[in-house]
Amino acid sequence: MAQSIVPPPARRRVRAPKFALAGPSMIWYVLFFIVPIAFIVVYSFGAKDSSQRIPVDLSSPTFGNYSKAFSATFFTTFKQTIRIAVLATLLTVVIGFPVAYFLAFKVQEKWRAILLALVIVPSFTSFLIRTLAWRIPLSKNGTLSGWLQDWGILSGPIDILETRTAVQIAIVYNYLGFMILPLFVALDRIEGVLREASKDLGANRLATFMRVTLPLAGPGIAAGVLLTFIPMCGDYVTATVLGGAKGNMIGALIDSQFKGAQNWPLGSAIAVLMIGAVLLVLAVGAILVFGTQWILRRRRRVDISSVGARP
Amino acid sequence: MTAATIAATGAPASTAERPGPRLRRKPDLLRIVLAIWCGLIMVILFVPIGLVILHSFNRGGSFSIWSGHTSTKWWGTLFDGHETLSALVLLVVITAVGSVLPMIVKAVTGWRNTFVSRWAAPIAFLIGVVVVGSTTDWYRSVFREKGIGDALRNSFIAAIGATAVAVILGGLAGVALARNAGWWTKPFMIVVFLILVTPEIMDAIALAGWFQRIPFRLFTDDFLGFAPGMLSLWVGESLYASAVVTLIVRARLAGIDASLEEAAADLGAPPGRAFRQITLPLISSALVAGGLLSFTICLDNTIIAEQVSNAGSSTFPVFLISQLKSTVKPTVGSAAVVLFAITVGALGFVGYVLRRSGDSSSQIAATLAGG
Repeated sequence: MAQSIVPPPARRRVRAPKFALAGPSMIWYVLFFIVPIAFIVVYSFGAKDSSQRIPVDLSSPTFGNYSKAFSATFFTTFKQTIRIAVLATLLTVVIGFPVAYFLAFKVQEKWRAILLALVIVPSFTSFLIRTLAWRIPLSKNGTLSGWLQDWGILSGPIDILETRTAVQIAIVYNYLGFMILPLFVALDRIEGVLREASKDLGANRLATFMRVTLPLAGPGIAAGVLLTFIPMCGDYVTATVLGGAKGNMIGALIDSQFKGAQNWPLGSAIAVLMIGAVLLVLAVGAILVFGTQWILRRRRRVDISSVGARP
Repeated sequence: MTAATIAATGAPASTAERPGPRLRRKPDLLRIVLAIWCGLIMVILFVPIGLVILHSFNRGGSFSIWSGHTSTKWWGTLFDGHETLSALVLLVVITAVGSVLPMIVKAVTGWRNTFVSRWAAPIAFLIGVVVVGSTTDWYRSVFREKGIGDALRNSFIAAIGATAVAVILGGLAGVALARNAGWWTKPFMIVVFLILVTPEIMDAIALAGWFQRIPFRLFTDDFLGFAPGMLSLWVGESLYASAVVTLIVRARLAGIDASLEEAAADLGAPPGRAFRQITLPLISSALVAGGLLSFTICLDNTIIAEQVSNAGSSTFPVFLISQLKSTVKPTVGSAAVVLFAITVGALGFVGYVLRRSGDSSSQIAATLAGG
């Protein structure tokens, strides 16, 4: 049929390349994402020079900023940031997974829409305001503090504002929605047939969960971890609002080097190290997960060639 | 092969048998426990927001300490009620009259036009905006308190500009990804993914340094009458937002096969016309959803705004950060409630648009979770 329609032979136009429509985005991303970040890497080898408009002297490249970034004060903050972020990621998975599981498998469609909206709305509400709101229940002279003392749960006022605990609580709260959503999406995409099959083959609920549902939810967990852990490591709002001096995080440190101290090279070096640390933690996590999976798979391997041979 | 056959044969049988025994089964304990857990988490998710709303009516002078009494005095501090109300009423009246006008004309004279009746309401709304804007000066006087009012205004200007950039860039890129995939798709998607996951502080410092380098003081002076720093905000906030729009548009088009566009091309439509008449209507819901989502994301962008805005263009989050050193006033709570209402409205509209274009709630969640 296509053969019968002869295309008009006249004026063969110059075809734009396939990526033409993505061209503006490409230029935009190169100009305002790739090149600026490349400059940060370059700055990290420079020296502070406040006399210039861009306070970086690149005439003699050095690794000095990196060794400075590893000094005691910065390194403590580094460790604290990674600790807060890893713990918060684990907590969001543990808290969020049952919610996502409930939404995906245990709830009717009409309720599901409402419950999903209840997860989405707080997650897309201003991050800063949600964080600031935590100052209300956590404050020393606040209402909650008073209640807890009246009921005899606490002997003194709540005293966790401006500490790591406050940052930890708020960061789990802030990112919970961004963990629940990808988890839900992954669980929701698991075909019911597979779980039914597992049940019909005699697996109990736990076995079905461990050997069918959880492995299939793997990509969702990975997506959730990427979408929460990385931003958490660079999070600067939560630590600034609730952390004070004791709950400092690396994002706030980078900010202070750029805005306050005007030491761009050191700030750049810390930022580059932060990215390195994030990738390192993710790599370790991935090795742990894939390693366990590999061992489990080896132990559980079933030879299906004989089963398949039967008609 | 065996697993597949078992799944294929086993599943229908089991679902067919299921209704019988399920009626007699004892209540699902796991389900109850999960429901309680889920309810608890939902409550916790909303507690801080509830507290913000409550504390915006705090009578005392501090946002974080409850005085024990409610009062609307801080709302009065933020808003010039009289001016705002009259402007709002005028806008609603013009929109309503404009929307109803075609129907009246049709009833009286019998004349009707699909284009007019479809676009009457939006056009009336736009006319309303222009009339209200030119007659009442509400734009300058709606906020009584200067610092926070300017910050809110800047937030909106920054978010609208960034959204416009994001929708154009993301829309085009999304179409290209879905329809003209090639060798470039993979590297491009890697960059999009990197933009989505890079800690914002990294983008922020990188852009803050970069804008200083751009010649003609393009990013450091005022731009087309906008305050210095506004162009930086548009660019900075558009990065993440355009990545989001790209993914949404791509996901939408990937679900529709290209036969319509091909048909248009076979019938002789030049590429531009096929794009305008076929592709654009197909992705319009994705553009609206992506745009509103971008708007809410840009509206509360804190980290990039903190680094790239200037004194005259500081947005609401930047203003709020600067207030943290002293006592935060309940006015901040009132402004936060306004922003919250806008976010809920925008998200509700996103849900409505996506649902109307045939998405289930699961698909909407997938869209919001980044494809």
